Amino acid sequence: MSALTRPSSSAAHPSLWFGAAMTAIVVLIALVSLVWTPQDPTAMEMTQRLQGPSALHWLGTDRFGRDVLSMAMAGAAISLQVSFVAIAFGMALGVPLGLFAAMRGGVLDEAAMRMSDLIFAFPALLTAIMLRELFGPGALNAMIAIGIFNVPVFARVTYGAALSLRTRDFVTASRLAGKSETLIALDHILPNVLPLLIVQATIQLSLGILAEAALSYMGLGVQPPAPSWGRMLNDAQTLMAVAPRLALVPGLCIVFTVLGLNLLGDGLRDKLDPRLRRRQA
Amino acid sequence: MSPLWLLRRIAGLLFALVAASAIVFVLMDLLPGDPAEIMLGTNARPDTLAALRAEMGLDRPALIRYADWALGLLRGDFGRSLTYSVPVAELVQERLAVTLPLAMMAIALTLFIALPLGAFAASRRKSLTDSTIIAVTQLGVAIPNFWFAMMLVLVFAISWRLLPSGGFPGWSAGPSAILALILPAIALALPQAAILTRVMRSSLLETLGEDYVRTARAKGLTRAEALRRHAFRNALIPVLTILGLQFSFLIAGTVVIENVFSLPGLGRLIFQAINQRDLVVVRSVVMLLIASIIVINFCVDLAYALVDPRLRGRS
Repeated sequence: MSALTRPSSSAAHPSLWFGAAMTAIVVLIALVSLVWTPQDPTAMEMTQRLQGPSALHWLGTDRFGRDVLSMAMAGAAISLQVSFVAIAFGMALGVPLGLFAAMRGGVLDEAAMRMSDLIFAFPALLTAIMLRELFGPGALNAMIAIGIFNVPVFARVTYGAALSLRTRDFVTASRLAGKSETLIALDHILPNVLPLLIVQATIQLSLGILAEAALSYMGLGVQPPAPSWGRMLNDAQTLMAVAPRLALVPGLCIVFTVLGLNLLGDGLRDKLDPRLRRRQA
Repeated sequence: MSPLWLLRRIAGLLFALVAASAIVFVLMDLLPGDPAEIMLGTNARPDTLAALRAEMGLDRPALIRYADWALGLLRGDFGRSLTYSVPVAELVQERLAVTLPLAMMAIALTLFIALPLGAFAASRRKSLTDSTIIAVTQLGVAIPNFWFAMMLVLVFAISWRLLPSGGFPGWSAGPSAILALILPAIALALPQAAILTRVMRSSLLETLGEDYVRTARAKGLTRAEALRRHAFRNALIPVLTILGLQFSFLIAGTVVIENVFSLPGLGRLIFQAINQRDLVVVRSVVMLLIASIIVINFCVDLAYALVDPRLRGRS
């Protein structure tokens, strides 16, 4: 059993199960939307514009006559997709950076962590503005902008955990047995940091959903005709007085998803983070 | 605070500012291609393009252009806006008159909500009140600020007609200017307040378990007195740090919220400049916002070290 991953003996935190259930619902809807939606989410039908809920359109239609439920379902897929890629991007760069800094120490450690501090000063929105001319507005722009913000987060988590692990007996034993620092990092440090990374990934995923919605709302993320929650909110803004439901549906979708992920993250942290377990004991 | 520690922090700040300006310059001036063509479009006449290139000094080496731009920023010269035909510094000054009060109002509101609420929850640990406050903050963190802004408009501007739904009449309009900033400030403050309430609660709970608080209780202080006299001030240290870290979210939030409410601040200026392809304005305002985040984080670091001497030895 690894040093940091001994499962909690206490009863599972209720937020873990609530969060997991809520997240599972969103993921399921997103997956279903890839193969089926009640209507084509991009099909415009001007004769059906701004219709209220009906048997044909459960959540009504928008100003172009598009089916709101289908758009919200497809929006879930896009939102999760952007956030997942952004997490993968952040982990792919941040984890090796944190590991490298912790294992090497000295000037390189200082330089790597200062660089990651610097990236913290670039909110995803400003990065997306800067990358706009390079990649153009779109999902790719959002993925990279959010991903860049994730890099220092994962670097910090990995660095902190790896620093405390590298002086542990089992690491010293491996070093004495002649293992290289790279092999120690991959075979012993990384598996032990993994639970913390999973918790952090859940939290970053929820922040990614919020950031993606904001970027799409501002026209820097997913572009029409692809439906996204942020874009739906942007379209709904001028119709708040006549059709507030157009803003309610995507907004509640975002809140439900982020709340689910936050509860899941909290629950996982209670279960997996050894520092919290020690405090609770 | 030792001079060496302070010097190291100042060197770190200068390095961060130079590195950030280099990143902004490379991403916005070098990598996308010819800035003059981006600004005028591919159908621009060659002589117009050549004139703009000359005006922007694009015929000079990139390093010289960067140095010119960066030194200009230090002197307060942010370049000249092509759309407005005025110095960018003038535009920034004008727009800061909206953005700065909005940000200050949001921070004040955040603290006004978070500190008492967090302390109240901590003082009633594991009670129904505590659980309700935790649940509300959990919800607050999950609500996107721009959606919350739209809901505020729906309720307070459209349904109840109590506050304006957007726009800014200018400071000369007096109280209506403040009224115009109330809903945006609330929208900005909500997620920040939710996070800070949680931090305040857990920080206070941790402090209440410290030996000196127990000693104070043993000397006859009530729990409320011990909380007010000893624990509260010490619990503020992590709150201060998180407030500093949240500043980048506040900046991003301001940019979005200004656009929701059509407020003529820096955030709106950036997006108007993006639509008008005015790269000079976009580049300088983005740099200004990033520099403000770096400087605020530096100040928080200093404040933190002033309060907690143990941290001065931190790398």
